[in-house]
Amino acid sequence: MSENDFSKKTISRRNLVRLMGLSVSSAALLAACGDNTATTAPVATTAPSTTAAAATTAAAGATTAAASSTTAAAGATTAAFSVGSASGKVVWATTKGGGTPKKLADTFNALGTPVTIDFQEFANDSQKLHDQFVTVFGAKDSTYDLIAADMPWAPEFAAAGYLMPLDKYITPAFKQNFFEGSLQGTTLKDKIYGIPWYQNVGLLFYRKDILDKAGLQPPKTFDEMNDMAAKLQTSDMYGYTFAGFKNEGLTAMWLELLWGFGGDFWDPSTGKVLVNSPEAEASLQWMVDAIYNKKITPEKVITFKGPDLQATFAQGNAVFARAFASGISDFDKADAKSKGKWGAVPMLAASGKKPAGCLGNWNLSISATSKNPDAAWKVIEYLTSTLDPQKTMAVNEGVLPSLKSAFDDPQIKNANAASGILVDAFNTAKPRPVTPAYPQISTEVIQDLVTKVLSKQVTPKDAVAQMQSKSEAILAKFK
Amino acid sequence: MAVSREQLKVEKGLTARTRRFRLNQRQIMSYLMVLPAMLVIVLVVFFPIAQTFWFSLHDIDKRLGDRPEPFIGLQNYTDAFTQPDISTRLFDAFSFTTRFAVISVGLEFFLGLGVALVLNREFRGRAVVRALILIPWSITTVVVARMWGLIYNSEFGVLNSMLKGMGIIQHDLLWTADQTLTFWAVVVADVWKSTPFVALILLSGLQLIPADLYEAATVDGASAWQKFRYITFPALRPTILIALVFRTIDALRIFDLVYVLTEGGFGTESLNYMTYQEIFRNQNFGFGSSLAIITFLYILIIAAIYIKLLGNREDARR
Repeated sequence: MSENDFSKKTISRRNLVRLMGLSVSSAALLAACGDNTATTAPVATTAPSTTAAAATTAAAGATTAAASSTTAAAGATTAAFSVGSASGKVVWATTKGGGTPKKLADTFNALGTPVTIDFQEFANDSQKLHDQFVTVFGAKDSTYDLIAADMPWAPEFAAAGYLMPLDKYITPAFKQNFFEGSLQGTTLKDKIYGIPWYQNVGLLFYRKDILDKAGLQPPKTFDEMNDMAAKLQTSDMYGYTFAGFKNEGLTAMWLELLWGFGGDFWDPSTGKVLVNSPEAEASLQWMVDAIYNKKITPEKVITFKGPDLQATFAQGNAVFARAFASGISDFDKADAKSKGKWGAVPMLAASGKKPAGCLGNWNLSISATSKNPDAAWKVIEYLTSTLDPQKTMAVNEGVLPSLKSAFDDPQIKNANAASGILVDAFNTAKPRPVTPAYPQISTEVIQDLVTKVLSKQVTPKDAVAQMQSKSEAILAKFK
Repeated sequence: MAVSREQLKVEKGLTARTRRFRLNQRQIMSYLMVLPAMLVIVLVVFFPIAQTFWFSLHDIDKRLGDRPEPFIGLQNYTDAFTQPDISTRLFDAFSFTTRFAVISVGLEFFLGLGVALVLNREFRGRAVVRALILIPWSITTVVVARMWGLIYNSEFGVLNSMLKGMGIIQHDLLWTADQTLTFWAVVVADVWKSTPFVALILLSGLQLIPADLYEAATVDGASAWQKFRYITFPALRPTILIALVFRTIDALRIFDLVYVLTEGGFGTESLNYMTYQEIFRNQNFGFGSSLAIITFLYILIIAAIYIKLLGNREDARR
């Protein structure tokens, strides 16, 4: 990573940035990265066209008069990116998002390093991408070097031997860049198989205007929220809502309740299942009470998928909603009734217990069959540990950076109204149980039984007992 | 048949040896002609089935990493039918798949027959109506499922809003999360999509019935019901069987509707969905393959019964 590694283009780009006295801004970044927006971005048109690459990278790093000098320095960090001795092609498979991953790949390629990304995008359907990887890796195909992977896939794919442990690349300093829980989620048997690319976590959203009017502070415990929801709900507005449809989101939501009541699914170090506990029973009972006894939650939450829940809160139909942080982009839409009127706190806990949000990160992992892992690692470094790519994802896609220091960035603070509490939320957040058996336990045990509790087919007490025995039966194979 | 018999007569004068040689050459030729098609079928149909069967005799669980994947005989099959949790699930999947196939194909048949009978009459704009009615069939199933998902949405869906508007219900119904309603939600979406297909096949059958049969019946003073009972229905029988074969096999393979609408929840896990879960979500290839083979055999038996029925019918007509 010495200065000598800089290509001429990079230097001319740095000079360009300096000369122009410009700094980073999302608007220019967005515009400059666009396919045919060169004319709409003032910077791109005024930039002296030294070389094509210089112009592109300058624009990507760069610019409007409005931003501060700190962000200009941030631009320079990216300019210093070096791939060391790595070279060659890296095939990167990912969901396409809103188009930003492709822009990041283009920007990286425009840096002109000896490493190039061959970008392969897939539809925004995590299950489909999972099935694609299972098919490709299961056939021992070596097409992909670098993959974007949903959090639970890290242990699953690692155990199957599809992924390469990354420990030889990871320095202690590099590790410091990320939240502890986030890395825990990609660690199987003391080896790290994925680097967090962007993050998501469950939060409790509330209508600030309504709480303010009633003179209330946001709740900290489940009981406080129960009372507020009961008091503040109206015939047009549900008290408390969550996404209760039988899918992965349900597991994540319930784990937060479980942790908030002081329980846990298992002890990761011994592999002992702990779910048959009074705490777990209380967490299920709390949901049943909210729906059927306190009636602060509509029965129909059981049909709510994430987007339905977000629409409900955005339309102003709920005082409280437990949603993922990624829901913010819906709550802040121009036509949303919640726009500018919401607040968020990390997920709640029972009094005297510690709250924990559930992480919903996307990681970058290197395939075990990759022929060019060194170059793939450099791409991971670029995407996860330099400010600009992290910021581009956060600002364009409404997701949250995985790089801790990115939360100090004024632009990210600006782009995300909840960023203040997010660092707290991520510091205490936990991954879902890290085991290759997790996907099966989630669908066949947790989702199934939580749904049956919510629709009153099984009592919380029976449900946790069944969860215990069924999880143990599945895990027995993985001892 | 007739042609070859005549040729045989001609060939009678030739020596047995030459005749055998000639026949062989003809046979070789015909084998050569079907060879490419057979190869393709073996490659894309028989090979995957054989491979899936082979997998199903092994303990292959990719989540367990690099390890021997031993041959375990029929263990996966006995597990599927005897392990408590799994056999209950498999039984539920059988039950759902069968109920779904019987009810949705039944509804599609009666509705499709009605539509076909109407479309078989002369009226203004018939061509336009025929084209329009095909639209649901032409939409991809996943899109149909998404569309119905929006209609069924409990908070913003048009169905609840209409029913409430008409005063039929007071509270929103949970179409995609209810032990009974969800089954019907899936059936309705399928009937909506597939009725046009049945109607189209039946319509083609109706148009093959000669008009003079009806004229003769009219002269004899037959009622509309008698005409249907004694002309339309018997003549349509082979077509009906074909429509039912296609639809039943299709319905027994149901996957996409439940994948999108319910994710297999609320008693709507089909055989194929369970197989998918085991193979793709759990990476339990060995056991998942045994489920795939069980599903395959089940559908094969149903198809064989149909084909038997169809065959008998054809023989009876000769």
